Amino acid sequence: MNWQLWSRQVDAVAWVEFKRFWLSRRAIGIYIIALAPNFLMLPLLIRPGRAGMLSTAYAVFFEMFWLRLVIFFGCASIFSQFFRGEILQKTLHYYLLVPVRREIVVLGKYLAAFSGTAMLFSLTTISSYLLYWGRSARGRDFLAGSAGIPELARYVAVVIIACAAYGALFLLLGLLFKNPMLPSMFVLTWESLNYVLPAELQRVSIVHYLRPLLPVILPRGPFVILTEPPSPLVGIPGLMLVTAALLVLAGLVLRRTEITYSAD
Amino acid sequence: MALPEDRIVTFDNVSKFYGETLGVNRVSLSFEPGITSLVGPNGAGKTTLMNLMTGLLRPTRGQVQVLGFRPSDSENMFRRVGYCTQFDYFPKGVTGHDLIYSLLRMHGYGRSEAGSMTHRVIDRVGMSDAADRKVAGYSKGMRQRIKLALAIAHEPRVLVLDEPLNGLDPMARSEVIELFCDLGRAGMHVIISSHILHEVDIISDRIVMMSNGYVVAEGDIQGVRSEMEDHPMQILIRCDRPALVASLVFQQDSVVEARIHKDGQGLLVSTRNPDQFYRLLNRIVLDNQLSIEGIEPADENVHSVYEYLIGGSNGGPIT
Repeated sequence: MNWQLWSRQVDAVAWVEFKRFWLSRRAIGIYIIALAPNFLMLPLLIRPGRAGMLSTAYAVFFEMFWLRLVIFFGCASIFSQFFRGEILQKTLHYYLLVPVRREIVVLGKYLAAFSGTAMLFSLTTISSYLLYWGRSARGRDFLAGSAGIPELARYVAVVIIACAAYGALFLLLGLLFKNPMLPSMFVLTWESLNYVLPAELQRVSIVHYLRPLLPVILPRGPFVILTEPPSPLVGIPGLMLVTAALLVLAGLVLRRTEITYSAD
Repeated sequence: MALPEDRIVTFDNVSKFYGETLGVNRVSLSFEPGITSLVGPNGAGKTTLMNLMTGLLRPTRGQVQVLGFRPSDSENMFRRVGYCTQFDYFPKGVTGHDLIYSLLRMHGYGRSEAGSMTHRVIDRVGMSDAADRKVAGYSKGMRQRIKLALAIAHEPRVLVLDEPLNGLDPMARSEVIELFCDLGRAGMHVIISSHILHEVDIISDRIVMMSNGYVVAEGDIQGVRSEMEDHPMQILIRCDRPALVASLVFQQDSVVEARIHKDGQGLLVSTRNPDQFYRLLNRIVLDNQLSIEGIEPADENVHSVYEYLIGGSNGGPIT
């Protein structure tokens, strides 16, 4: 096991991929998508009220809009691009002609995508949270008190874990499907309607493990099938294990991938 | 004497099918150090063979070994192999320098060593002035050069080049050919596919001729030509009295045709037995006190062999 060489290779792949994607012109669209809806939605929510009500309003915004739509589709479009985009642009062979295990290529690309998305969505979460609470004196008091920053930290933790788990899933889908948006829509439906499914099926979902980590848990409507929420001590390592398993699977898929661009 | 496994590239009964479409079929080959050219029309299977050699494709049947390594063992194999593909695409947004530098970092070289190797190889392919420009803005010829630099940057022992002369201007082409010859002389395996047959002819130690997924001939060009008994060998004799020679060569049954050259200063003879013909020619020259300017095989080249073996049935674009 040559860990030193492998870490150097992961570093090299991740750096090329980070520059290629995040410092390019096409990333501007991603930055706009990450920022614009955030700041368009927030003014609609900002109302005077009690801290408890304000917390709930932000929780609705975060879970329903930010986590389930923006972060979900952000991860879908970014992570799936890291392989599918290269196959479409006929550039994937660049990484398959170097003395690097294909699993390392997967890890390098994943880290490049993950570091960018986690950073981007964490920063926008922090900025939206500060903007939301900073507009009123009551909000500023809440931020300065003992609850504000820990709540923000939990939102950021959820963002990072969501990027890690959804990212691994969409990286794999980008390798498996010519059009990863179709399976992404299936995943969105599954994740959105998951709470009406039997308890066993609810466990086959990322959002099932993310929800208990949120600082404010929202009610899920009349059709919910109630299940015991997983403890964070199970949920976080569980999602990390799922992420690792998805990356291993992506490595195996890439190991079996052949370059037949014309067929794609 | 057979070379050890770690010095050759072997295909053992290799077939590749794309669904029901044949890529290559039952290819058994062995590449030794030196320059080997893959010749054949479009769709002959040259790129498939190269992609199989470098693990971009997996064989449907059979086994490929490169210096003793399976192509699937990319970690070991690509330390010794460089592949200049036909795919003219690069990751977006990177400069020529960054592309090569990051490749060398992936090979495991340290920052300063990778940096100096990058400068050396960029200089070797004549791209120093454009190294800091983005690859997306390169011309076709510059892309070819940077691909070549990518393939040779880590000083491989096997260099696989798919149509490496495409897009190069005549000056660059002659420089690149000189580079291939240097590498071949240095004991490297240089495996080239090309449509430009007269250049292949100049540089190749061996050829592998392919058609419709099959290897139709392999070996050094003289050897391949001499085995083609269906096609009489053409010999051009430059002399002062070609008509006299023409009248005398037919005493031998193996001579099937004799034509006076258009300029009147030579004779083109087709014979099924060149050795016997050369003996007869010696006698004719001595008996008649002829002045001979030159004698040379007229169709002992890649172009002619290509025409005989492939051109008639599947004439792809050749130059």
